[in-house]
Amino acid sequence: MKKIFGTLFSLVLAFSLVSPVSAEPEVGKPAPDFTLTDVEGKTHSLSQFKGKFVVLEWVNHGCPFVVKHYESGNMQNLQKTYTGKDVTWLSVCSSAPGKQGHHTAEEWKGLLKEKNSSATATLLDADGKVGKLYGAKTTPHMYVVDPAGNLVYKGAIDSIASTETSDVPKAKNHVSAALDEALAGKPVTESSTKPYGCSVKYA
Amino acid sequence: MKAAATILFAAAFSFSAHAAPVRDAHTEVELVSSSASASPGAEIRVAVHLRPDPRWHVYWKNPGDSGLPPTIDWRLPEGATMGPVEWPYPRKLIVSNIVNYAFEEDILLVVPVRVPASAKPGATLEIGASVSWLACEVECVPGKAELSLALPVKEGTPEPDLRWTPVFAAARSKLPIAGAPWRVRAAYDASRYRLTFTPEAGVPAELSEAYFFPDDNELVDHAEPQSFARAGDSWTLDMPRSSVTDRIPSKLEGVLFSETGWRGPGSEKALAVSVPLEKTTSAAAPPAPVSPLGLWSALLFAFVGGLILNLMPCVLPVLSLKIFAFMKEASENPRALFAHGLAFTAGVVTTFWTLAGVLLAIKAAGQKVGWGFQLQSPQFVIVLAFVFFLFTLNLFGTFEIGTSLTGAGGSLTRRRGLGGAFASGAFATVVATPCTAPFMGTALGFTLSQPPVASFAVFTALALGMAAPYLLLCSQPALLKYVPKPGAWMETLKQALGFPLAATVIWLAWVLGLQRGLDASIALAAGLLVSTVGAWAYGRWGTPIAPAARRRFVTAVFILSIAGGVAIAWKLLPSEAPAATGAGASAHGISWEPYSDERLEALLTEGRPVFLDFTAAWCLTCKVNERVALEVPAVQKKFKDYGVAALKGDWTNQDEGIARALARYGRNSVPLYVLYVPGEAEPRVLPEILTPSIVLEALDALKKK
Repeated sequence: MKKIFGTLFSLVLAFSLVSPVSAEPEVGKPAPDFTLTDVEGKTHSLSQFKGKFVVLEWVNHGCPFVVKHYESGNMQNLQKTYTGKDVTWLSVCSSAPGKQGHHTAEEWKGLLKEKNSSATATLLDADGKVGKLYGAKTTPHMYVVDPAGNLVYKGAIDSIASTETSDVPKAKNHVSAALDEALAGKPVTESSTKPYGCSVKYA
Repeated sequence: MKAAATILFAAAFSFSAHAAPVRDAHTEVELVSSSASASPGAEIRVAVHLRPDPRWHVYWKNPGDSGLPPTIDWRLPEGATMGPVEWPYPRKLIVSNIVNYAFEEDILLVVPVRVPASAKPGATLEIGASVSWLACEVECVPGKAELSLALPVKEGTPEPDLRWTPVFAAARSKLPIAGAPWRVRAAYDASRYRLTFTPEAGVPAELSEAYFFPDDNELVDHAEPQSFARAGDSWTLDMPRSSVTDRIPSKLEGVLFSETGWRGPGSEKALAVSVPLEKTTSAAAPPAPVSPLGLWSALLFAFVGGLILNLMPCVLPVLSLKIFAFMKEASENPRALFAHGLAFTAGVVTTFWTLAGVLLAIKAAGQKVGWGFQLQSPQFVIVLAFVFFLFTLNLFGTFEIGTSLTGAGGSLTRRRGLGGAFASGAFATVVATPCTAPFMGTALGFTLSQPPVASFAVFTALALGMAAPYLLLCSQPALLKYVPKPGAWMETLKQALGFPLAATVIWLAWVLGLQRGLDASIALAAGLLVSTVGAWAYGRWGTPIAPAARRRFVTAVFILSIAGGVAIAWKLLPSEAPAATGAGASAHGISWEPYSDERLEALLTEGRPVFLDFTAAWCLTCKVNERVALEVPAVQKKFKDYGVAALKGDWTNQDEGIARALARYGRNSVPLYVLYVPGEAEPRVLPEILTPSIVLEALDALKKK
């Protein structure tokens, strides 16, 4: 009897310790699967990209931190470079309707052309479900998933938290560092960093 | 309108020149000063005043989950110096699952500026600031401003600038108070940080909530709740550690906020915190794997342990003497043999009971003691050294007491023999205490948590185990057939056995030296020398053929010399233990660190394999294990290869912490060897007697990880 209580107690304790407010995915663990519609109306699931590296980029073009990385061309360069290496790049927008960064599919098409985005697809997550599933806090907030479906990087795009485009070349780009290591079959040295940016405009 | 007013004011106070406020990113910013003039060498207070539009906010130095703190690039005149920005406490803003530390109201970021002593009255002190910040309502806008301020330099104290004094005063009330009447401590364990804050005497303290704003952006996950609790006279605040990084800063810095106020209701709400981070013992200490041993198995373990105790290095010389005596007994008086065995057993049992009684009495008095505890007392070590030494002299033939072992005692022997058997049982037990045999640790540990009756039962089983071989030998005289026939060789063997006993005296002198330093050992040696004089005199002139009066005299001299010798060793015993008692100092191959709960927890948190060695100078088993099975090249190499951290708990002297640690593994005796294998929930406890292969095999568990 005592043993049963003991076990129950430790189970409760264990759960109360490990379960944060939202169960965010952990590096080294499987990235949670999701299905979203892109601006063209096509649906994409994370699981359909198994066998490839996938980058998730949280985006809000009204956010000055995102503006910094698009105006400097930094984000488009990353997209071009790595989609060229058979990496799938998914931009995700979790801005709620009426909030900054939210656009209709039609507006998005124009915006992507204007921004010269080379993402594989831009996914609309207006109810914020996927954003919250991943614990996306900022724009940009970056995730890298390996071909086995495990998360290998989460965090900031680079090492200098600012809105200055002039900081882009000075900063260490965490995403390209992670991708270069992962693509070379090496473990990712800096696999978790503190993201910076505007808060994601959830409902 | 505001601008017009400022210009008007500027005209009215023509001696000071504030640049007009700048507007950008839904925020008005301005460089201001608490004084309208600057004096050479004086300290003035200069500040950036940020005034976000209604519903907009700017961020604190740690912005939380998103956002960016304002940054200020100062330009000061040559020779002027400034202190760090004084940040008022922020507000916690929650949107969805995102938490920010920010200001929704006007804020003043103040820096103290030291005016150069060389500043010339009549000149102007010019201060510039490039400010950039991020303002957010829901969306965010970065702002930038170039600000400047010119103050006339005047003699005397700086004149206050009446427009800004109330603003500076209001800002001051929002600064966290430093050197506050609260003692704050910070600790961490594997999963969280804990702040413990205690009011100093006389501080009206009644807190109903508290929140900690950490300076470090990566210290915690800001959205995680902080749990506030009262603990006696103190309060605690627990915060889960960051999921982003495993880095632990050396200090916990930030602002502790309580709506209640830190000096009673209505007083300051924020407390500046900058305290070293310590590893916690309580919450983090490894779980106690107390073995759930039943009484019957404890008794069995104790019996087997007692049996093996006979083979331990501390008992072996006594054991040989004992067998020796039996041989003599068997040849002279085979029928009395069984009675002898019983007397010996009684001696062992009585002594174990005495030990158990003392142990329980000390335990009842609230002290932490265990097997071999009496050797933690230097006085006991001194007495034991005298007993061994006189015994050695006796074996060497310096003196004889009554009839010698080989003497032709005849009818006398029987009576004397019974008392002697009892005494040698007691003696064997006393010298056995520095040893822990296999199984004994577990059995003795069992007594920790048991009522006195069970403890006595365990000790009795131990005693019976130890006495069992003799009892068996005595009850089955047939077995003695296998023992060689007595003869002259026995006298030679007797003298030869004096050498291991002399070695035991050296060992006790060493133990005493570790306990109280070199002087204690030398005092002991001097005391032993004094008693040698008495022993020699007794042996020379106190023989049975000497006249009775002379014998009485030399007997008195002998007893006095022993008493005097003990007194010398006792009297000269330094009262203080030497600074370091050998814990980490010994080995070459394995780099031992002294054991502490904190260190163990830190190593386990790092995920390192950890080997614990609980030992004592007086524990012969421990010393033999260390020489034979730990400090050998193959084991040393494995320790290095697998990066095993080695912690040594030294129990030579009384130590509550070590006793507590032992109790956690269900023990109250040394040696104890524990190996923590990363990824395994329970630590592995190694046997009391080690061989290199036992250790190597245990370490190989690490290879598979």
